[in-house]
Amino acid sequence: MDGTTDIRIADRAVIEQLLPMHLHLAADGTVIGIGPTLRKMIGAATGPVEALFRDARPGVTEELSATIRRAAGQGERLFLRMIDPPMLSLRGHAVETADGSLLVDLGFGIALIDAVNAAGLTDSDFAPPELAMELLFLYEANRAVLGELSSFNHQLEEARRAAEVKAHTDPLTGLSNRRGLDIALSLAFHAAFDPQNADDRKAFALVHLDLDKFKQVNDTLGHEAGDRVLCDVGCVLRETTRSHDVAARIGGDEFVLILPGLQSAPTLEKLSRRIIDGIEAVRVTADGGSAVSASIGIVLSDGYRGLTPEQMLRDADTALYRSKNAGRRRATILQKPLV
Amino acid sequence: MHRLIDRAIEEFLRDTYGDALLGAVQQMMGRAADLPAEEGLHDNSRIHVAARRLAKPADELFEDLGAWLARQEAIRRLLRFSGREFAEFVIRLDELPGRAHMILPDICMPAITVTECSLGDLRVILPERETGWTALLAGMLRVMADDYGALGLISVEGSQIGVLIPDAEFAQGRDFQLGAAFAARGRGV
Repeated sequence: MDGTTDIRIADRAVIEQLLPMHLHLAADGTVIGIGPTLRKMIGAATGPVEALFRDARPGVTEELSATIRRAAGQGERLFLRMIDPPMLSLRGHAVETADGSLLVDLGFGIALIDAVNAAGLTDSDFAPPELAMELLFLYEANRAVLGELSSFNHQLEEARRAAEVKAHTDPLTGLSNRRGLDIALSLAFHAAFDPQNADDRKAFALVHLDLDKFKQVNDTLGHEAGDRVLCDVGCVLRETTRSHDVAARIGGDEFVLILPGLQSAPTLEKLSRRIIDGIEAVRVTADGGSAVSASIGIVLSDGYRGLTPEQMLRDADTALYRSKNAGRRRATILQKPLV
Repeated sequence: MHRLIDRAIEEFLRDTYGDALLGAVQQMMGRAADLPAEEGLHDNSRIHVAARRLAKPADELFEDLGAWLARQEAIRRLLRFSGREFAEFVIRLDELPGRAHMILPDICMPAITVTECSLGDLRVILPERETGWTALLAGMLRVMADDYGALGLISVEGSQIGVLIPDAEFAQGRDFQLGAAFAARGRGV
């Protein structure tokens, strides 16, 4: 053994420890050394480097050993892809040693997570200065936290929906409140007159209802009895309307219904009758005494093109007062807007 | 209070003492869910309320919480990244606030100093008023000693934790494979 060989053997041990991911190539590109971590993935093969790796960049036709030699000379980066499974892409750089051999040091980059899985790597497979363990730590931590956050988001979304419903609901009757009505009416108005959607217009009827003699119930029997009556009226309205109709209580004893698709006066008259009958059947006192009734005003959306939901509400209110003035317990239907 | 911590405490109370206690605690706290998010762990009222309800010292509950946290697979794994063996884990506890901060930027974990009095006799030191965090860490250390298979004797004095490691390979530790979490779904907090 001559002196040069001794030094090279000593070097190899140092390099093995220091660079667990290195590839050592003879001047002709033959593999003469592989670092211990890299060996876990590609084995202890010898032979031309082209049997183990190819250039990971597309369209490179040059022989790999020539690419490596040029990269060593010019300080360029190398991107190598394993030819056999796990077929990971590695990146690295190369230096030419004094004896003309090439020392390539490789690393994982973002492929680290795949590599850990594919090759069953452990803490001791990484050189201590490498940030591999920190990257894996962050990757796991990130996934755990994101998982938790997405369940938070889910909870928040549910809470938001519940709050929204609550904000638009009259707590006493469970019908919509004034805000809920405003939103529903502007949606109905939009659906009826949307120029984008001329083929599928949805006419609707707007019903304004006011209880007759409700104030007397409140005054003589107290607010509790009054509240009970309002609840029962809410039930009547829910039972006499369809699921896609909107029923709202917009104040004391005032109710509004939005009835999509209804424009026929006879149908609306029949419906009004059912509602008034239902409300008159509401028991106010324990002995079954009945005192309340209702007056109704109805307007039809046809004819309100270019006008506003507010005008519709105003007209429905006027119709309601015509019913009141005509002796209550009845409905008035306006065929067209009041000007 | 960071919401993740808040939720961990909630899960811990539910897991250990059941829904009834958690419900009682929530009730005693009134609008518990609306507490400001900035409180640190040292004035965490939920643990204190639960401790009062259970007639236990709060620090004991913090210690149980630490132990419970270290038993959650996702957290256990994250902790195991800190060292190959138990002694290294303890020595590198000074990195823990940094690691926690890296994951949850708004967590306010106090600084941790670790000194070695003699071989296998370590001292973990927290700021004086942080007895809650100290207790929590002590509970965590007890579980992690078992996790590494080490015999570790943990003692708490004020805001200091003594860690004696008479035998680093006392028993078979629990498995820690780097890739395991990516296949298995850990129970997260």
